[in-house]
Amino acid sequence: MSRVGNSLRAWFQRLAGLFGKQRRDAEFAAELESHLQLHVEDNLRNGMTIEAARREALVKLGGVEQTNEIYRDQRGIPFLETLWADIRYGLRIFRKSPGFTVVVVLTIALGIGANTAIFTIFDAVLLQSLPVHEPSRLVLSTDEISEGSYSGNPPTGRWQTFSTEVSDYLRKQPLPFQSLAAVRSGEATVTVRLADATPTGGPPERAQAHLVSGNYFSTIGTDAFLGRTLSPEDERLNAPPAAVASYGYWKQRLQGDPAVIGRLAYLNGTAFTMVGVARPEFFGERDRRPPDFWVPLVFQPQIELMPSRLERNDEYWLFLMGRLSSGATRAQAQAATNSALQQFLTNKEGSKLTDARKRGIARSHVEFVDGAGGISWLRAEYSRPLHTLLAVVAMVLLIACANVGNLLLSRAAQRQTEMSVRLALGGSRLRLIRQLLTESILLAVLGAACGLLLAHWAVNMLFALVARNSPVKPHLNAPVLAFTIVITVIAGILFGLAPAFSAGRTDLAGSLKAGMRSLTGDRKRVSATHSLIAAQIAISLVLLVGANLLARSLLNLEKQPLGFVQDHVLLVGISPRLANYKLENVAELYRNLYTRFSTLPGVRAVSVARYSPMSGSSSTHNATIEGRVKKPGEDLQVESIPVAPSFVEAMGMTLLQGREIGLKDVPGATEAAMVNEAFVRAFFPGQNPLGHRFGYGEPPSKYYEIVGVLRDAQFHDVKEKINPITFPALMQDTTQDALSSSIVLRTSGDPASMAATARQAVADVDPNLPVTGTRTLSNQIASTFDVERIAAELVSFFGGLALLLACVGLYGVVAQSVSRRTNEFGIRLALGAQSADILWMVLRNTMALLAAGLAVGIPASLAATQLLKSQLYGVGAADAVSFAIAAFILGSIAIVAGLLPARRAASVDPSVALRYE
Amino acid sequence: MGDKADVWQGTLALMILKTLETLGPLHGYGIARRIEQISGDLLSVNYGTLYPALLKLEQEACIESEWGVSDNNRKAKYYKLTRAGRKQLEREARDWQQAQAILAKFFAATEPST
Repeated sequence: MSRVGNSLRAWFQRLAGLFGKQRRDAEFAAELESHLQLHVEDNLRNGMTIEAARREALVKLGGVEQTNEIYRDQRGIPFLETLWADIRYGLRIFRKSPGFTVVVVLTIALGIGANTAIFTIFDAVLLQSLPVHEPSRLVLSTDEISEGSYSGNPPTGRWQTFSTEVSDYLRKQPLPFQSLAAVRSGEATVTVRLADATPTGGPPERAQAHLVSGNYFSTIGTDAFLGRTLSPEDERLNAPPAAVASYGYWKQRLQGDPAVIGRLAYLNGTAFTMVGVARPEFFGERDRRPPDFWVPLVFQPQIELMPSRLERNDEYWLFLMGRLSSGATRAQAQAATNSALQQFLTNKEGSKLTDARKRGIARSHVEFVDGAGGISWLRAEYSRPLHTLLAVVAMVLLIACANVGNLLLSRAAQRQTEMSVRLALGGSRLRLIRQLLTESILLAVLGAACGLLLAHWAVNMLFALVARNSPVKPHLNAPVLAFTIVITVIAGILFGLAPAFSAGRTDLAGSLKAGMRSLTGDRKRVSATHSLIAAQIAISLVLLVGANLLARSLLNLEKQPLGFVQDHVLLVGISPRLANYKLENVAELYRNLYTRFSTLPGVRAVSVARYSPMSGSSSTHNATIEGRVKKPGEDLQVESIPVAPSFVEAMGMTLLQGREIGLKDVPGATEAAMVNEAFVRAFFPGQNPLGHRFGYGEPPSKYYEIVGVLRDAQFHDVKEKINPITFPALMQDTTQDALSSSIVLRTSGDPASMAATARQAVADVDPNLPVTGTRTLSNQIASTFDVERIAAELVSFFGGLALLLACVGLYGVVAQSVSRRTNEFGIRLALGAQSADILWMVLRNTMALLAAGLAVGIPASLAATQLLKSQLYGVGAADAVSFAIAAFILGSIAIVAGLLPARRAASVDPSVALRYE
Repeated sequence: MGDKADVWQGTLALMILKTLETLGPLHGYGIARRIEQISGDLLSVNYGTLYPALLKLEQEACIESEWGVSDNNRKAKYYKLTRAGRKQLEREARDWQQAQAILAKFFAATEPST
């Protein structure tokens, strides 16, 4: 014990010995002096002369310098002291050439900043787990980001959503889950009125409510920040309504007041007791629309303002989230759940089972997916662009490293004499390499520090671009920091090695004799420099081609004809449901809105649609065509978008046949619907569909007569093909879904400026009717390309950055070679060469580098863009135009970068050049 | 050079500790003289090599130092054995004697056969 203690203590002492060097040196000098004095006195006592006494004492002591050195080594830690000396020497060198240092540090900062920023976002979006206890034990029955429910027969394949009946059954079975929760497959917008709000507190606020089973919080693994979370007690049918507020809602809307626990909040008019506040970091299992309230499933009718789904066995509206028992695997849980599910279905249908149904039940199964990351909309949308961006910034870092490598190489040339002198004085080559490596790592560290600052700023900006409202918050955390440190050290070593070894190779006699300057330069060094430049040009080309392809895809997406006129349209979202409209009076509301908006100045046409175009919502049904026998296995899926009169006019669509839905299509009249071309192609090929009837469901509750055919128009995503769509009359709609919709206004002026007028017009009709948002149609369409736009913009940005870095590098190298060859140019000019010859000679060098870069870059780009294929639209991965544009941009900028120093070379005055040192 | 230095360093430390145990607090010169006297002329080493060894012992807390005044009124740095140093000395002395005894047995055993 004491031995270990001793040596540990000794190390601490030596560490301390690194400081207070001067004082310690002085003390040791005093000790040696006292030693000599004592010895001399002794010698004098023994009868020596004073000179002999002193000489003898010095001889006996031995080499003072050597003693000092050994003493110093024993006192401190020689490795650290050398390192410290190298660092101080490096810093002194940097101070002497601030321009060089700033360029190098900034270049590294850009490279590392870009990498850290993108990796931070990558980490937050793709790698981070939910902020809950042991997220790795969570499994989900679905990872579909689309919300919504499905009604009809039980699925005969994978079950992603469940009815109340099935989910209740499974939750009671002894499955290998610590707990199994049922969660509504989406959020509901509700109105909120707080109990203590004044009666005239203005219109109610809106909030998102998420219906969950009582064990939701314990399953997902989080507890309450204040109060309590929901418990299985809250799920009982006669339980008092309880709600848990999110931290964000509590902070912003409830002023962070702890006293709200136990108070009432009226959600859609039903009084819920706020029993607790969730933890600050907790946002549920989805990142798209974080809930403001979590409410027990049993309150579905009150929260969704829809008939109860609790008793309906044909409504598949819940997904399952399980926390595995400790030691259980996902596969075990899945197998056990599958057999329970099949058992349930078999028992339930009992003697009615046909053979076909038996086979269907045997195919019914669940597929649990890893729930650690939740159901992430961000992950689904941005996974591919983020992978691309990570590759892009890695290339930027490579270019930055090549640039810095070149700068260091050229400095190594300038420091040749210094190195030679140090070698001549007995410095070992290894020691020189160590010094240079220390310097380059030091540069990398300085660059990384600036890069981190840059990244910190860039992350927030970039993340605001992709997901302003996302509850996922990227921050520079430990893995990100580790990642930065690793790339920094790799970068430091990477660009440190070349100069270090070239210094190690220094030919002593030669370079001391020749001094710094030689006419032809060091061939090896020049070829290293040239390969780095060619590599930079090649990488820049890859990035430019990629940026070009993405930009052209985006352009193709935006130019894609949609089948309607997107300019001059304002969409005004309304929610009659939240204003307590019922089926009986909603048709009248629509008529009143229609009348009010028709008279509004600046409005050329008005209509109402159940689903806002290009908003991503729709409803899909299995259609039945009257008089048509369904072929076995035939898929008659159609979309339904109920619309009010003048929809075709307001949207600027084209009516091909028949008439559009009009004012006469009211309850009581024949149910009318328009269909699109895709519908006609699918179900009435070569026939006139007008007058035929179809319905939703098998068998349908009622039939609609086809009164018009519309030219195909894209209502969702231009990247998808157009499905058969039906447009029944909104005012005849008797399904609950009719209770929220979007007013479509075709305006004569700027649609955005009509927003306030439109809100006022809605209020004129009914002051209690909430407007859920206003947006121009072109804006809404543009937002469907957000991912593509951001990817194209960022890749272009980094491509530009890469190009800039590469050209700065090219410029630096050419400029340096020009200044090195000033003498040579002087001689040439003196011997009768023309300026143009010199210009051309220098430019030829640049062109050779460019050609070499392109020769490598073109095949590299061809290979790289293959990986981009899935993100391209309407343009091939090997698109010749994109390649040509990229090569042209790169070529012209590179030539300009080469031309500037070339012109300087051509304009040298021979008499000056010959004397140039 | 390495091996010889290690052996010398090891034994030198032991000699220093023993000297301090016998004579009490002493300065570097005194220790050097004492070692030289005891070993006769067999050990003639530069006095300078003593100081790194003293520093190492001090870092290991076997000895501690303090400036003082010598018999003839010279300022000198005095070294003094600590408790830990005393234990260290005991242990090392034991180890040394053991090693010596083993080696002695070896020599005793091999002598007749030569």
